[in-house]
Amino acid sequence: MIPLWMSYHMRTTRGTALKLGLPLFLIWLLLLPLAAVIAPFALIACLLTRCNPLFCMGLVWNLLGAVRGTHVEFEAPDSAVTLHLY
Amino acid sequence: MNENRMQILEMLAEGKITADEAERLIAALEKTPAEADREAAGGARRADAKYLRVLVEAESETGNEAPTKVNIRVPVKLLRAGVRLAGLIPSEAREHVNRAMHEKGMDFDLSQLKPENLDELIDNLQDLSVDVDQKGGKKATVKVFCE
Repeated sequence: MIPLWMSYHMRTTRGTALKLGLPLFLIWLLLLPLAAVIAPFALIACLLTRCNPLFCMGLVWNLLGAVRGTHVEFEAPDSAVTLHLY
Repeated sequence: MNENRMQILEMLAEGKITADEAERLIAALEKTPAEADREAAGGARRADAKYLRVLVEAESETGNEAPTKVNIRVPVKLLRAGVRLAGLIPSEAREHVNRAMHEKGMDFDLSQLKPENLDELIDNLQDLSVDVDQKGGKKATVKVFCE
């Protein structure tokens, strides 16, 4: 399953704080027409490199799905950033 | 000589198994129960490993402030998918990448990057810790492990 939500937290020692929840499913929906435009070019690239287009599509889908659960946390003395993909 | 060992040697003599197979079977017989348990636990750990975790803790420049911390958790599935995707790289491009890496002093063959090798890496990556000495005597610790 591809990631559907992303949370982004940021805070600084000056008191600035930002909590952001990004609905990725909306972004995927917005990108869908772009995928339709890119698809013929991807198909040509697959034919040129002699790859099975369905296999390639499956791999890309797997890669997107595997991103779910990624967690990045950075904490410095003056700021902290947390990013999580759900 | 115990019965099992005798049986293996008989099978080897009859040509039912190869010398290599016989050697592996005898080696398996020689393993103590504790070793076998440890191996089984390792296998389970590898199968259970869901995330690759990288923790970095570096002392601050001044030394008085809290240390800088980085905590990254990457799903193992992502690594596997990435390795599989690397298999799609055309051979010409692969050679080009290998050459470029060789020029930078890294003897690495991209064609050797296979999912089986990743399993081996995860299996051995139980708890890796690297201490880094930075400029000014500051220290940083990098921990890499699977969970």
